[in-house]
Amino acid sequence: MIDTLFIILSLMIIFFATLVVTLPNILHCALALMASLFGSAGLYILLNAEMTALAQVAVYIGGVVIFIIFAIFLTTRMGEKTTPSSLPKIGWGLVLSSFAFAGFYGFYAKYLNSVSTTGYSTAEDGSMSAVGKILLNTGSEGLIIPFEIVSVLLLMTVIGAVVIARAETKALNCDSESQENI
Amino acid sequence: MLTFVTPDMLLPILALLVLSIDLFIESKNKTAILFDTAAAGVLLIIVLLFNLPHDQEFYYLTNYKVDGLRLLFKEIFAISLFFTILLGKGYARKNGNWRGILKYDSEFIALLIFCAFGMFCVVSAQELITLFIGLELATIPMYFLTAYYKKDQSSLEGAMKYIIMGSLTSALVLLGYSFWYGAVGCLRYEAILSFVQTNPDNPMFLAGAIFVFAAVCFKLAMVPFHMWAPDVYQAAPTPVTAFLSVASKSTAIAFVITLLYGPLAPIRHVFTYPLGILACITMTVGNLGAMRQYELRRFMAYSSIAQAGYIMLALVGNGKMAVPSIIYYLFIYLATNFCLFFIISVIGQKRPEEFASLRGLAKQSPALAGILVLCLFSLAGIPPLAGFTGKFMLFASAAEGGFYGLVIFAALNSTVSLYYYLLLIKEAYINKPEEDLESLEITFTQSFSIAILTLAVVILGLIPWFSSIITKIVG
Repeated sequence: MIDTLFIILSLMIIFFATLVVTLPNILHCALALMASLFGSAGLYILLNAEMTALAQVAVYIGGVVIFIIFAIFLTTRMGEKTTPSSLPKIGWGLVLSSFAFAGFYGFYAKYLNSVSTTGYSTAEDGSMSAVGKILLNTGSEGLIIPFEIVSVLLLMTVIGAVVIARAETKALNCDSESQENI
Repeated sequence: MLTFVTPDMLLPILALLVLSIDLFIESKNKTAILFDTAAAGVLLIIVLLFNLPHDQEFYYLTNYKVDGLRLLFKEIFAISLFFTILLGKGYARKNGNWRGILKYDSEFIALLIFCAFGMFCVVSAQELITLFIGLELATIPMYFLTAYYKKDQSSLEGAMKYIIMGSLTSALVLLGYSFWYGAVGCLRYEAILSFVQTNPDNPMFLAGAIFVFAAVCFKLAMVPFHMWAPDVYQAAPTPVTAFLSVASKSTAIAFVITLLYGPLAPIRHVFTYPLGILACITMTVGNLGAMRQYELRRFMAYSSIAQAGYIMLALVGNGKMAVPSIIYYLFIYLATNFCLFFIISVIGQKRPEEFASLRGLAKQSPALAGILVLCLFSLAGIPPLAGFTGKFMLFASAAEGGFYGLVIFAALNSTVSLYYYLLLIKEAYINKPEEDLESLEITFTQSFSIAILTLAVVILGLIPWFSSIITKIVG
């Protein structure tokens, strides 16, 4: 049962990922990306990692792809088509990706046994409450320190983004003029 | 025992303090107040760091380590932050720089301080997630700061390149981590260490290590991942360039050292040859690239690429001297580079920061020209300046491992570098300016900082106890 689901999900991911790079309309590409990301969220559910699956849906599908669509609406005209890739480019792409595939396939086929089977691999470890307990745990297994530092990271990003995105208004210029006259 | 992490905790508080001063205080001297408060705060943190006992280990919440090595790195970061704030003060006033006034002062300072906080986290981290988030916290502010001259197209272009390359780096680090997690099943350093001890040649783990080290090479601007550095160094405001070339580089080195002398210690020898070869290529490319530059910040980029090569060479030696010699050199590199950037900031007030703007410096300001010569000779490694002692220790560390060929190659490279450092001196002393020069203004902050840094460049090379203290702490 799980194997069949895995195969269906993988085929779905691969199909939509191919569409992302081949469709002529860039908006359709973004929608295909969304479908592909849904597929990987399904894979996380198969692995009992419900928290990761939810994060995938909330952050990537709800955030990142929507953001991409906004960027597309703001920068391109509707109905505009991207120029299709030339044949030599597709050829090079195929060669490079098959090398990458062969490399990774060979690596995993040979060394799959070196993957750890210990550690966090029980079913409940991917659940929401388990992740929450680890994030707020002050013990050796806990991740309270990165959890706290992320808040600083987010604050810093907001400040920086506001500074960069802020329009330089007249009023502000006057303000800085008065600062200059010290 | 909380005193061990007080400096780390004070940093974000200081950043918030600076931001709130900007919000709540109305004053004509606000710019000066902001920069002075920040500088005073960072000075307090530096004093706190130096007063902590360097011979003890302390774990905060079991996953945040403070010891002598980490304190030394934090001192390097805090001192660079201090001088960057002083350097930035000159750019936030009228006529501070020919590219315009640096606006949004409080945010500028706060971003720098957050960045330093990220660097603190990188060195203190005891598991990979803190290490990664610290690295991000140390990098993302630099994207914003690189784009700080918002109306300058080249500034935006450089920042864009930096973001794309930086995101690629983060992705590589995470890919490497995922391999490590797959092999070990845990993210803590202790677990990784015991895993590596029992399975030194687990292929999964080594594959992850390749990705992580490729990412570090990006951050360090090692060849073949160095192409972003000259563009970004040129695009950024000069204080940011100074911070990038000293603090960001030290962060990447701290990242390597905490991993190689922490969880990866049992397989350190695996990295010897790749690191040695990369170090040699890096210093050669940096030196050759620097010869053809005429823009001072771009020149400093290539010069610092070459310096990164020398620093990585010490890690090849693998012996007891490696870490102390690198930290000693970083202190000297900090003093020399910041001194040069202060000189560049004085020159750049009315003229573009190019080689040609140095013309006539010896007549206009003999003292400044003299200091320029001292700094450049120190970077080139001429005795008796600090740079010589530092480089000598780096090379000695490589020689300790028996890599005499590499040492000879590096010494030759160091000789080549003298050529382009002399080019700058030639501009300052021999070439005549084409038109009459406007007089140079130098503020109190600038002269004060240049004086202190020059003193450091001269004295650190002459006093022997400084290096032995570092060796005692780290070794």
